[in-house]
Amino acid sequence: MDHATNQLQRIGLKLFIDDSAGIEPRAVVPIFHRWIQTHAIDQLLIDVADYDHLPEGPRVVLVAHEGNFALDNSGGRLGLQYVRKQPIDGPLPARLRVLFDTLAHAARLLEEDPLLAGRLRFRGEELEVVANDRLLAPNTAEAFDAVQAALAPLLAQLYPGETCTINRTPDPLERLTLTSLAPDSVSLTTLISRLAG
Amino acid sequence: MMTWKEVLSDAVPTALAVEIETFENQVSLKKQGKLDDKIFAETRLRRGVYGQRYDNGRRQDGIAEQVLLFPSQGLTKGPETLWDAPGMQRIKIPFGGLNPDQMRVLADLAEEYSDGVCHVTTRQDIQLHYVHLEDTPPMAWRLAAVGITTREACGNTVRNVTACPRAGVCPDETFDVTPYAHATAQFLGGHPDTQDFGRKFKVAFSGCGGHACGLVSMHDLGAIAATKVVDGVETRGFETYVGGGLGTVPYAAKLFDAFVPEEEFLPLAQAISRVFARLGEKKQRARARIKFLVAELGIDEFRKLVLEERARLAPDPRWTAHLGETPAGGGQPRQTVQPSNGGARPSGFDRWQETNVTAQRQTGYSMATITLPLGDLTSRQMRQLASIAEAYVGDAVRLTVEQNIVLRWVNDADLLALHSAVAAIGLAEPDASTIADITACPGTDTCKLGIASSRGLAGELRAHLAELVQTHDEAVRRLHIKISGCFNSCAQHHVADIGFYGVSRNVDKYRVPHFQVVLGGQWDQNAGAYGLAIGAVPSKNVPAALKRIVDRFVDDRTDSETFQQFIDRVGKRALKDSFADLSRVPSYDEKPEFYSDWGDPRVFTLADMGVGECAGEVVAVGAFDLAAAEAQVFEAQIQLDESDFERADALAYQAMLLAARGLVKQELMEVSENPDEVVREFRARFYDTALFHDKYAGGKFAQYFFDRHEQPPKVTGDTARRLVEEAQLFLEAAHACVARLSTRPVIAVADAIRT
Repeated sequence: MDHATNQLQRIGLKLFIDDSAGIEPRAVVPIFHRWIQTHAIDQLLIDVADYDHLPEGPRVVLVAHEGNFALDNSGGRLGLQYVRKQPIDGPLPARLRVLFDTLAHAARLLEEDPLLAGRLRFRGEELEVVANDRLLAPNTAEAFDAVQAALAPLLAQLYPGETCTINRTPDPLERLTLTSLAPDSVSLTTLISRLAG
Repeated sequence: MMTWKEVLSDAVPTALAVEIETFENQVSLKKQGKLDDKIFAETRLRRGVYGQRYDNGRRQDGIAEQVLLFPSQGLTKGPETLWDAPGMQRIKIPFGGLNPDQMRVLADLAEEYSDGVCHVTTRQDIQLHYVHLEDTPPMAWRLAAVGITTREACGNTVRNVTACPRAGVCPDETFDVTPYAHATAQFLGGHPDTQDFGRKFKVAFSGCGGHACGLVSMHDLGAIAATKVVDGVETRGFETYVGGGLGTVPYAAKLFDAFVPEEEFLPLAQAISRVFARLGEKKQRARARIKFLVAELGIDEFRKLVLEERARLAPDPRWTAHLGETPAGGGQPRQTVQPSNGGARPSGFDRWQETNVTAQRQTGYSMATITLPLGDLTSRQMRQLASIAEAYVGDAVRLTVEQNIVLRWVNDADLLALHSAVAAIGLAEPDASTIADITACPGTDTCKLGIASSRGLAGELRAHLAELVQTHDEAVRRLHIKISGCFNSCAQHHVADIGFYGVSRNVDKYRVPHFQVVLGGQWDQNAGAYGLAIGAVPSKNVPAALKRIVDRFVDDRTDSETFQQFIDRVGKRALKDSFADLSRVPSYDEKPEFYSDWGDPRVFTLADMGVGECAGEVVAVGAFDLAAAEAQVFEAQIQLDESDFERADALAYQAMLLAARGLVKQELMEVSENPDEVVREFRARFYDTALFHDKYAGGKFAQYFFDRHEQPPKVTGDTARRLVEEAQLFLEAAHACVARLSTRPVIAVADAIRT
């Protein structure tokens, strides 16, 4: 794997929230602040940015040194996104696995948070991957193939025996974005256990 | 690994490439510990690379101060500024002019290096937040490739040259100032004569004297388009002003010359720069803006020095190279003008058209304002807007000082389609330039100087005010509200009809976020008058206080009375009385929400507070005296409004004396009332010990007091007004000082974050 895309470090992963949750994005503001207080996530958590006035954007961002967590509503679909900023070791497939692990654990914390009273559920079967680096991974067919190949081991582990449908954002001006959809619904807890196994 | 420099270096002009390479090298040298902190800080600031809140590695999380253990501990990018701490990148956009390619790159940068949000500032810049220092050189390459430089976006330099966003299409302008603004930005930026300023220098252009768009009166150098008939020929020039500025204490610019011929403007700007560099204050940052030099010398002496300097300048072909040029970014019609066919009008179009669309001078074309909530748009919106601009108006895009975007040269026949297009990307919000279109600086969200949450308050008020736009007439709809997070005026609160700036008060050993209410400012006439603070209200009561003021205006105004006329007639005392009850802060047990700021559930705090013996007593005595001093300074303002300048000056000075004496009494109960003794004791106990010093402003507020005590001025309207403003700031500093001497509250985790 010598494609430039394999050097990609700036990557965003997003898990979507079940539409029926009825969560007001601002509800996570105090939760994110509490995560900072209690060091709930193994990252250097810095601050919370409230962009609730931007309905189709990163509504609430938990800024960390390593990467940002955002309750993101881009495209009108609410989800938790983790966008990595700092490099991590290992080949791209391994890095994707680490990033998913980070995202999934943060998502589970949200699902379990008492302030949300169990209303929030993530759609474990769907995962969005954004190559947040137009230099190393432009939105081209070639880069798409490279990222898709790097993603395959993670998808195989998360959805064993299943064939995921993978789509690419067609607009060449947008970042290379892949959306993976597994045929059967699956919980976050299951995904985390599969990843641990 | 491939780099943006390798990919783009051929597309970047050589001079810009050299600058960026130099900066890259400086970043590397600093990382190796080979550059001094202060030098590097000024270096990066001159590239628009700013510090941001918490970049000293400490953050109050609502319970305690957390130390942020960045990996590059020990490595700094300036004094007390950690290398890895996220910062802000300011990107200069001269006269606010953008083309679609530039918009796309801004969108890409926000996505890849920031948090996916582009923020438009009150000086037609773009700011990206949470950026890592080491990402700023690639950002600079990518910007340079589309003709944008971040050179001198900050630091003691010529900042972004702003101009009326309607230039070239406004029905009321004298002529299009765009080429002049562009030429000034090119000429002064990086010029050797502008490299040794003690502070920043801001230039603005306006096409007319009546509208607010250029805000010339509040700039270091301001130019209003003017014409003059010479030998039967109409010639162009500028009514030129100098020495204006907001900041902590606002100064109205002085008329330098009623008509500077167009070919003389750049040499004059150069001569002014040279005089400012030579004579401006360098050591005392607080007095280093050109407004202090002009006030100290007097406009006549300043003018004389500048003209002498002008006479010595060697001719420079750049002075006139732009004359007769096609306006840069001025835009051209994209389509043949067609009559509107009267098609169906979708929901929301009429209101949007009423508030956001203005007819151009050119028949058949309009300007359409894209209202940006809090000056923000997402990367995706910026990119999509670029495509819409490309389709409908080409290069004719401008940022505005009201933190919006204007698309010019919209064919009237395209308005319906344009509305549909911007609605599809969530940018068809109406109410541009109305009471609901609130301007706010970043405040405590990201600014190191922020005291209270200006954006949080603005977001809250927007929700309250949208209804007013629909239910009230033009006089109410067209009120301007501007909110700064502190006294530094980044949101230009002094020139709003109703302004607010963040302060804090100590209540029962807690700090409580407040906002000073500023009335009397004037937005039109290029920021024609400055308002004054009339009283502080707890943040959580500001919406109610604002409603009282607006309701009073609605109920009591006479026909055709403007808000300024209404204030003059009713009086600030009556208006202050109308919300006096809202100044009270309920106890923490009664209403804990008052002890947090808007949009931030943490219990409010400014920073670490010292713990002293008898802290409770200290607070009680100090609060008593400060309350009396506040009443005094308000009375001074009333006298100022009544043009009794001598009385206003005396009352403002007495207010400072009273506050200083109150502080001294904490340590010396028997302090005399003799002003000399009060000053001596205050200086020894609070100034020399730095106890009174603001974390960022240092001792400048105390200096206001000392200056007035030691050198009573020959009182004029200007000096009295300035002293009233200074007295208010002195009182705010006294409040902060009292707070530092009090005990920080200890709060249980459960209480510290409210839901």
